[in-house]
Amino acid sequence: MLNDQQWSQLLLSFVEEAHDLAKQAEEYLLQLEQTPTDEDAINGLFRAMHTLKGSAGLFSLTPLVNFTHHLESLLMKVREGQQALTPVLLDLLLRGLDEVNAMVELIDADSGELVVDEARHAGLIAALTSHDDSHLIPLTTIEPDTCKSFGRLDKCASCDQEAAWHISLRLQPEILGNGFDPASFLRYLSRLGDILQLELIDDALPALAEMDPESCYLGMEIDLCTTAGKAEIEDVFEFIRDFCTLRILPPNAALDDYLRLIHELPETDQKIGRILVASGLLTELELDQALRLQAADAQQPRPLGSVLVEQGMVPAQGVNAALAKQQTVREKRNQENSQIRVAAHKLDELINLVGELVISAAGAQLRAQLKGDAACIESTQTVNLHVEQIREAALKLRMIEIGDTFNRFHRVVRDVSQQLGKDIRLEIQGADTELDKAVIDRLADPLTHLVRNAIDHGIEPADQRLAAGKSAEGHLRLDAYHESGMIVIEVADDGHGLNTRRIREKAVARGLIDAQANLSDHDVQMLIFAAGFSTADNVSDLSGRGVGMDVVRSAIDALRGTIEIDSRPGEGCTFRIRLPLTLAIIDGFLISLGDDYFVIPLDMVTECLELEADQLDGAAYGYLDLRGRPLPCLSLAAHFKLREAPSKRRNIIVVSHGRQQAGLIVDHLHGELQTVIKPLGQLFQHLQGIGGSTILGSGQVALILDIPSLFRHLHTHVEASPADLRTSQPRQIAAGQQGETPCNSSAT
Amino acid sequence: MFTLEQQASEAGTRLVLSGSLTIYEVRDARDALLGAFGGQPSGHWQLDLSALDELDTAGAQLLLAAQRQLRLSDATLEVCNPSASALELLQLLHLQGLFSSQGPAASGDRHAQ
Repeated sequence: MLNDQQWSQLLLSFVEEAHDLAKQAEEYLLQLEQTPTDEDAINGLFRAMHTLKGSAGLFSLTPLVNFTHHLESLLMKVREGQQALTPVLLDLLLRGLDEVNAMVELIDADSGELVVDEARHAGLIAALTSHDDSHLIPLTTIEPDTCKSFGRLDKCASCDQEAAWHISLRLQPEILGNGFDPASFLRYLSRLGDILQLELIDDALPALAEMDPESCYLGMEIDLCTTAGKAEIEDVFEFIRDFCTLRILPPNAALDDYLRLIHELPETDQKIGRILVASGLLTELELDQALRLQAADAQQPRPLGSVLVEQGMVPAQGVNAALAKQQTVREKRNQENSQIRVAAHKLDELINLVGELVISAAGAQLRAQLKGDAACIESTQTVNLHVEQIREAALKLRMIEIGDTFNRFHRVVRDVSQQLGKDIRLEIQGADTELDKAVIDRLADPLTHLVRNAIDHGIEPADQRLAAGKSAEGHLRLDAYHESGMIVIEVADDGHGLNTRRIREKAVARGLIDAQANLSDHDVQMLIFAAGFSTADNVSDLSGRGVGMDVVRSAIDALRGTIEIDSRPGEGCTFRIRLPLTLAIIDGFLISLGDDYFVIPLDMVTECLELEADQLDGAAYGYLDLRGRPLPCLSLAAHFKLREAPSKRRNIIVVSHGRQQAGLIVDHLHGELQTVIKPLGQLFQHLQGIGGSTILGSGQVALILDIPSLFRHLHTHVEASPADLRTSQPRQIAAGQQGETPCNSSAT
Repeated sequence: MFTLEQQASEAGTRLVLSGSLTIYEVRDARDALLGAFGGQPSGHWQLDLSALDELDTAGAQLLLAAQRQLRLSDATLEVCNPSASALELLQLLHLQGLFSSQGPAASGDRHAQ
């Protein structure tokens, strides 16, 4: 039993629900005023009243039940087309809704009783009932959708025989022994509609002498004329599901309805099975069965659709319709109105705030730990946990699907391949993979470059392809997927792959590598990303855009990602880009100079060394000897004009960017730190060498170093250094030598 | 309880089935029918169902099997005078074909009428 408190809570929620329903109903009515034939609105209106009546019944609110019943039956007539929705009726219905609202207000919250103004109430009910009978429209306006000859065993009198469901039933031998008489299910089935045809399948029945009389050898093919749906028909056989094989096929006419239904289903990204179940063409049980069948065939998993058709569970048209639906849903998902468009800066603000929250929560936890109050520590830990979750959720808000970006390439591929007279098909996979919007925006250019390159250099002309035993049509694949916290994007072609020998020749000619250097194929391939390794065999419209592979590389670097090449001679080449899911958080390495803290992106840190003496002699820039090789160095303290603690031991952090290395001289090393990047304010945007800031748990600000910009700065300063030092640095060998490029699928 | 009584008639042999013919009786009924048919049944056989109180799918299946059995030795079987309950079941299963002496194989439209 409910106690009083629970009861009044329930009552309160009913009152709320009732108001909501009345409001909904009013909206539907107003909608109907504009479009009186809107079936959805009529159905919605009817449902609202029906629900209200049901709920009111639970609370024994008899007057409300009575009243809504009248409204409901009036609406029923409207729904069935026996009653026109005239302005007079609309008006009456609106007044009825007002009355419903008034009655809900009158419910005594304590006793749950409803006392109504009998006279007024009666007047309205009279108006409703009189209306109920007066404006009857003859039934002929709407075809009855029920079968008139319901229940009679011979031919269905009112329906076309085409319109029958076909039920195929195969009984298992043990069904009789288990106490089921199939005939009783047929009797039950005939309550759903007319059995037009029934063919007893007795081919398996042996002669009397050989048979086991307690086994069942029969099957049935039944044509049933009914308005019931597939699930209802299936329910008839519920108890003997285990003892029979049941296939239910919709009538041709109904199939069209189902196809329409599939088409009209709300557009959510559902699996094909779900779509079919939602349309009623497939039942849950059948879906289960089909999925099991699909799983059982583990070696060669087939699409669910083909399993369904093969098993006769769903007609092929149904599967096709569902597939088409799935397709359109995917296409439309971006425009779906269930999504909210939010200005990106609002999200940034939110993420900013969440970043603040992360920091202040960390600060609170630090305090709590210093104080040693166990309860306090515990609650700050809980807070921190939730803050982490909020952070995850907030970062997810920025995630968008890569599909849009991928889809743009259809056009690129079409145009470029036409220009080159190649026949190339673009395949897109993993279009629904999500990643940070900022990442996606900055990915478009490098991707375009890779795609153009693949078309221009990677995929051979048709005659060469045919000669190599490939299809004349080239394939280009864009794929995106998640892999251990990173997102992977692949640009793959089925062309001839990278020509390692020629890349090597060219690299040697350019002095990028030593002629004797023993590099693996993979290392040689990576050379195409080197700055200056960027002229094409043939300068075409597609080449010479000023974007070489080195630019692709640096764009990926800027996104803190990596790129690798997987090239198989004659089979094709895949560029695999790995990116962090978001730019808002980095793994950093915390260092300090005096009292000032700095963060260096961890993946740029190569090694840490102790500085033996001040080898730079107080200069801001210079060279140090790193295992016999000159390492350009920068003293952060001198660079940022900070006071340095003179007596302290100092350290060098060797950082690398692309293939360049440099040392940063700092005071203290504090270790790894995961941190939220906060952009610098407008005032500090012009600062060189600082990429952002973050706040440490202690409340102190740490600046995030912009390593690429520091590198550029260092270059301009060491430019003046002795030439011998410069040439001894392998990475300093610049482009500028023109000539034939050995690499077919390299950069433009 | 199922009983079988054999009568000779001018048209052939008449078997009067009485009591019930359901899953509980089919085993006995099968033996009884086989006994009545003997080793090489011939001619025309009538199954009189007028005294049959109860018939279920298992029973109907048995009647069909009996018809097959007879057809093996070129004999024919016809079900006649079904009681109300037997008729209901046979109609439900569209087994009106049993009423004709030709048997189901020869009657293409036994289910349609």
